[in-house]
This record gives sequence, C-alpha cells and structure tokens, in this order.
Amino acid sequence: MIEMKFLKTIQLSFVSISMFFIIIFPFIVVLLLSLTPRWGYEVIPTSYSLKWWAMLLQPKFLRAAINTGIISGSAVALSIAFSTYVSYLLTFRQFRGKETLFLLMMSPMYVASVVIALGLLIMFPLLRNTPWILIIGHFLVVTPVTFRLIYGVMRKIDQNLFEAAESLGASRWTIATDIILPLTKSGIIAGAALALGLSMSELGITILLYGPSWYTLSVLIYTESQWGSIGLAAAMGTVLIAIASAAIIIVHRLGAEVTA
Amino acid sequence: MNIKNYIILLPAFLLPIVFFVTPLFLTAINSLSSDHGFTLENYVRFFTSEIYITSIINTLRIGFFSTALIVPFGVLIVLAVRKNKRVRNFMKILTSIPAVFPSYVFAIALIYMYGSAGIINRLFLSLFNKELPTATILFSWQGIIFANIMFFMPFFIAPVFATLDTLDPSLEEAAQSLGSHGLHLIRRVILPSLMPGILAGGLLTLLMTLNVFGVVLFLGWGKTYTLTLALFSEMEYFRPAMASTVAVIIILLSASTVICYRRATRFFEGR
Repeated sequence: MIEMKFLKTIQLSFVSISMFFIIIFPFIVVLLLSLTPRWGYEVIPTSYSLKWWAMLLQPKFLRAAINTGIISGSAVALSIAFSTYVSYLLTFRQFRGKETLFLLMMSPMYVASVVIALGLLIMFPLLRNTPWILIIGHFLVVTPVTFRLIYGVMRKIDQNLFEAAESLGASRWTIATDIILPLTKSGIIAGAALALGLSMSELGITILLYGPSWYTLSVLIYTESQWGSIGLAAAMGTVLIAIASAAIIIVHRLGAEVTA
Repeated sequence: MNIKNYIILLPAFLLPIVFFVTPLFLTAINSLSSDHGFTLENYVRFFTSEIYITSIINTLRIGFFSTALIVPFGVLIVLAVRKNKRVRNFMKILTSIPAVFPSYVFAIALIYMYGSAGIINRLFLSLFNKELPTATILFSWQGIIFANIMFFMPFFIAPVFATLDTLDPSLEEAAQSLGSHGLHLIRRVILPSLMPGILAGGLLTLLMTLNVFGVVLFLGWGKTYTLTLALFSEMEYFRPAMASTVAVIIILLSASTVICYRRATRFFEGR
C-alpha cells in the first residue's frame, strides 16, 4: 500500500514538473521580459517598469492591434458561416462527393502555412497589401478547426428531429434556423473562440502576405524581436497569450473537446 | 437531383477549390518557370545546391526525431495521470493551451530560459559554474527538436486523452479481476486500446513538426535552415519561382512521409 502511494507521488510529480516546464514557466519568462527595462547578468531581473507596456500605446502598435482585430474577426466570421453551411450539407443533405468535400475542408491543416500563403500570392498578386488576401489566408488556416468542432456537434443531432419537423410541414429554412442552429450553438461559439486565438497568433501566413499598411501584432512581434527590443515583443506576446487563454476558457466552459 | 440542389452545393466545393486547390496548382506550374520558359531548371538547382539539401535533411531529422521522442514521452504522461480524474481534467485544459499559444513567443521564452542568457542557464552557471548544454545547441537542429518536444507535446497528448475518454472503465476492471496487473495490464490491455489515438496523434505531430515555421524562424534563422525557412528566405529575396519549387518539395515530402508512416504503423493497427 505504501509502495503504491509512493509510486503515485512519483507519477504525479513527474507530470506536474514536465507540465510546469512546458506550459507555465515559458509564460512567466515572457511576462518577466515585458516587465523589466533591462535584464543584466542576474538570474531574475532586479528592476521593473511598465516602460514596454506604455510604448504599446504608440500609433504603430495600435494600428497593428486594430488590423489584427479586423483580419481575425472577418476571417473567423466567414469561416464560422462557411463551416456551418458545409456541416449542414454533410449532415442533412444527400449528394455524391461527401468524402471529397470533407477532405477539402480539412486539407489546409496538412499543408505548411507558408506554402498556402505562397499559393495565394501567386494566384492573387493584385491583392498584395490589402486586408483581403490576409483574410483569405487566415480563413484557410482556421477553417479546419471551426469545421471540425461544428461538424462534430451537428453530426450528433438526432436525425429524427429533422424528419419530424419536416412531416409537420416546416420548411427547410425554418428547420435550419429554428432547430439545427440553436442545437449547434455550443460548437459554433467554441469554434469561434478557438479560431480567434489561432488566427491572432498566426505567423506563417501573415509574414508572407503582410504589407506596409496591413501588418498585424504577430508580424510586429517578429520584427521587434529581430531588430527592435525583446521587451516590446514580450509585451505584445503577453497580450496575445491573454487573448488565447480567454479563448481556451470559453471553449472549456462550453465543454467542447479541443484537439486542434 | 434538380438544379436547385446543385446551386446550393456549388459554393461548398467552389470556395476550397478557388482559394486552396488552384493556388497550390498554380504554385506547381510556377515552379517550372525560369528565364528560358518552362524547364526543370529550378529543380536541378534545388538538388545540386548544398543549402537546399541541408534544409531537406534538417526538416526530415527535426520531424522524425521530434515525433520519435514526443510519442513515448507523451504516452508515459497519459499513463501516469490515467486514473486520477481531477488531474486528468486539469491536464486537458493545460494541454489545449498551446493550440492558441503563439509558437514564436514560446521560442522567445525558450531563448530566455535555456539560452546562454536564460534564467535556467544563469541559475546553473551560478550554482555549478558551468553552462547548460542547451546554451550552445539551442539554435541548431537539436535545439529545434528540443523546442518542438516542449511545444508539440500537448498536441499529441490531446487526441490520446480523447481516446482514453471513450474507453470503458469496466475493461480495466475485468482485466484486473482476471489477474492482469501492473506492466502486464498496461502492455496487454491499455496500450492496445489507446493505439488508435496514439497513431492519429503521432501522424499529426509528424506533420506539424515537418511543417513547423514559427519556432524555426525564431531559433534557426541564419543558422539552421529547414524547407519552410528556405521558402521564406526565397520570398525575402523576391524569387517566387524558386520559392514555388521549395513549396512543391515541401508538399511532396509531407505526402510521402504520411504514406511511409501509414505503412510503418499498419502493423499496430491490426491488433
């Protein structure tokens, strides 16, 4: 019995130590970086200030935050609408090529993001330095995630409900808006939250498609950490992490499985 | 099937084809273009240049070694918390964080944890008067594997947990009452039933570590080239044709790796 308890303690400490180093500690380090004006040779920085956070109020960073909001917001809204529509077709309509459609929806996940971005640049060269190309790129990146969550919820709706409503004379549109949509709500909200977090921190697509007036927070994090200051990059990173964590909390409140 | 049905289906197929399939197709065509019309010149240049060959090798070893280390380590973690329901739920939330955690911010954190100016390295230095081995290898391919293990581990654990949830607890009880305990129980009962999740998670991990971009951009830029980084630097120098060639190689490499993976794991699926 004592032996079992000992084994259990070892197991739990192994897990908590590895999780600490993988998830919690990196976050603390980023936060420290954003709060210290300079980090000398000491183990933990000795002086703290909100210097980098105050600098985030400069127009350049506000512009980036607004851009991020516009691009991620539109991409996620479009992706949710499209995923709901395709999930509806796959669940409640009969047609040939269902597997092909499913594969088309999931495939952007299996292709490197820089490759997707390059394809868009080659196909739509005139859209460079416009928000449109960024929105299309982000749409492609988040759609597998929203689609999987929404389709997962919609697939579990009882088909008899659909048939019962139909036999009572409800039109297809009424069924879709009054029965299917409310039942899919949890999947839609979870998908939106997760996709928003994913899109805001996306780098591979954005770094190839951004232009002089359409850049995002993730691009600025890259440029600041390379040629500017790591403290600024860390402050922006903390903002992104905070948004992402909020998204995760929403998803778990809704009880949806996150396997993206 | 009437016309109305086709109209309602049309956008569903059209959107992915216009915005995803066609651009990839055009990329493949673009990779053949050169100063002398359509030739294989870019591919010849790719396979005769040392930097591209190195980037293929780096990509392959980063993908292979990261996955080979993540899978057993992840399975160990899952087995360790398998029984404790509260820890399991807590872990589920924790493991879903990296899905939206920016990978490049994670890379910055790693540099300031294990790099030569990092917290852990400084602590190590002040305690033992010696640098951590990570201080020198963090920016090499070994360092990127180290970063990948930490960043992609939760992505692997999540689907395995999902499989664990679908398992019937009475299965384990039945096995125990039949005299199966400890290692025997894990090896003969639990691992085989977790296998679908482990294989799916392994494939996802392999694809993500082969196509990793954020982490290598921050750690490997100028030091360790992978294919995704090579594509990015071709675009920085405004060479879209060569970038397209790299893109085609990336797609072919991931596709063939997936096929090899499927072949290699068919043995486990049979059980």
